[in-house]
Amino acid sequence: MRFRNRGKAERRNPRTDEEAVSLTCLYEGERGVITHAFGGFGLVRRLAEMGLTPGVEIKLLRKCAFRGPIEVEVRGATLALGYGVASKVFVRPLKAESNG
Amino acid sequence: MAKRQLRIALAGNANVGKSAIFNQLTGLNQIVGNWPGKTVERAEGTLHFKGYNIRIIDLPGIYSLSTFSMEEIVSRDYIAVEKPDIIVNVIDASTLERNLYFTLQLLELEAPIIIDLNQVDFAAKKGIRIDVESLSKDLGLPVVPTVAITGSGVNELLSTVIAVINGERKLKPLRVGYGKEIEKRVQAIEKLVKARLQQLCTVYPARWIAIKLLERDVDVAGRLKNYENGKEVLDCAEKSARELEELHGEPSPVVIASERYGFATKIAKAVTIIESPPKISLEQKLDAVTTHKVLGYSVLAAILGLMFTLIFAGGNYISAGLEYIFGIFTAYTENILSSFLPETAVTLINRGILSGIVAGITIALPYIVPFYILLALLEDSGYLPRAAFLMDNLMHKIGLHGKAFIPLILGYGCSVPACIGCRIMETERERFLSAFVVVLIPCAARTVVILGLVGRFLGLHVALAIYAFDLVLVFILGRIAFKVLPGEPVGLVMEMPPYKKPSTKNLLQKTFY
Repeated sequence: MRFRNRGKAERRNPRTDEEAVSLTCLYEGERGVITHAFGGFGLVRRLAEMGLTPGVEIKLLRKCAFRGPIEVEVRGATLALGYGVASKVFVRPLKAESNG
Repeated sequence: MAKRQLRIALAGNANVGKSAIFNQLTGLNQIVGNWPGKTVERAEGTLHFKGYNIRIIDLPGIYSLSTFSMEEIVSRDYIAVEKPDIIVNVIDASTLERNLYFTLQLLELEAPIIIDLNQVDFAAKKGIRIDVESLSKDLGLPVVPTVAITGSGVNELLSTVIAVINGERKLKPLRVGYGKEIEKRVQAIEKLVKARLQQLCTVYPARWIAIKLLERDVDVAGRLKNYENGKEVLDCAEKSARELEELHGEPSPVVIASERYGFATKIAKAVTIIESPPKISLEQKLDAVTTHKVLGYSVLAAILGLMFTLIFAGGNYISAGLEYIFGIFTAYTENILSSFLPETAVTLINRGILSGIVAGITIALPYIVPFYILLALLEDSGYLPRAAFLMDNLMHKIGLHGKAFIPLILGYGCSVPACIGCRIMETERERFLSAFVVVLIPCAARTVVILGLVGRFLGLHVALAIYAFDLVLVFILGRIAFKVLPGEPVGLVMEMPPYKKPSTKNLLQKTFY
């Protein structure tokens, strides 16, 4: 199932020059650290208030088919994000650990 | 001694059990459900306790005190302007960190707060224990653990409220401190606010105004414009916000939210004791199946399909049974009545009045009651947000996101609460759109007509065809409305509540309410 080309969405964080991928490119069960979020003022702020702030660790729990929403675990809570929202959040993937 | 009046406001994140606490306190039947955003208007109730007349206000569940939605502005103005005697901040023990973020904002408003650590039983199941003592010490506030559904701890909560009012228990609220860069700017703005806007400071704390201005809060900034010296303060805040943004490379609200979250994390980590490593629970397995790419949709279709078949088949069965019983009854009354009344009067009573009532009962009741039971079951278990998650994609086609699926499903029960439920949508446009499609959904009463009458006289397939036609109609009209209405669609950001076993009492209450 893992045929999605990651490279396509790979971008660099313009501010820190870190390698970051869109949240939608994580695999199910993979963890990452949020680097930044693009998008309107309202969206970025809303995401921050729900706990999606730069530097926080996030785990992708589930993706829906056909560019559907994704489910993430962040700060002990489970959130559902629409595909459009998730694609604006960028993360630095963490190396898979055994306890994941 | 005259009874003293008290006002207590319940505040907290969505879906932490505020309404359940409210019901335990007041004995009222505020509807409880397992989906975020259920309480849309504030509910009020009263109770008497130890010689006090206490008014309880259940505020809608919100994640922050900014101005993203109407609920947030309403709640924050209620707290700041109407100044309730005590604010009971209900927090969910299993997601302490996120809940504390809200608590910190309440602290910034410098309101008298008592923490109600709710759902401790559920947290314990997840292997999380909260050190109540040290949480209380860290926040400088009383913390009372409760289980709202069973009502345990509610008495202690009330006693604590009274103790604080009497001054037996002192609050030493924690001051939310920020990092050096933010703190310096906050204090500078605070000083200016204190000097220039004394009038506004009587309503809101100066420090809070300063923080909000630094966060570029539109609502607070708008209020400042009415004041003579407002512009000077605004300019200063704007300059500081810009400096912060340059320093951190993030919008200032994000910078401040990050810091606040950092603070919340620190407290949460210190007081949380993980007793057992989280096991894969039944709930998680259930979750995995019901939100699965393929299985999830099958489950959704199966649940909805089953629901309607059950209602139709079961309803038909009960309906026929009731009709049989009432048939004997009416035949009996006809015999008695005709012995002493003229024939026309008998026909009037029997055919007109009795048959009318019987028809109402035998057709309506068997369909509506099972329907509400099933709907309540769906609502309480926490399945609705999963359905919303699955339907997000499709809902985008009519310009809405997945959350709108919740009022849509509720619309099959009754259009009125479903329309009110559309408030879970964030913007005016979204609310209008979802309310527009919700009223097109056949509610339980219409379902009775469709299934009970059309189904019986023309066959099930015709009734189902009406349903299918209706869905197509909803889609087409929704799509047209989406294209016609100006504005941008908003993406889905929603909390997924954990699955819970619905309580029987709750189910029955909801069915017959």
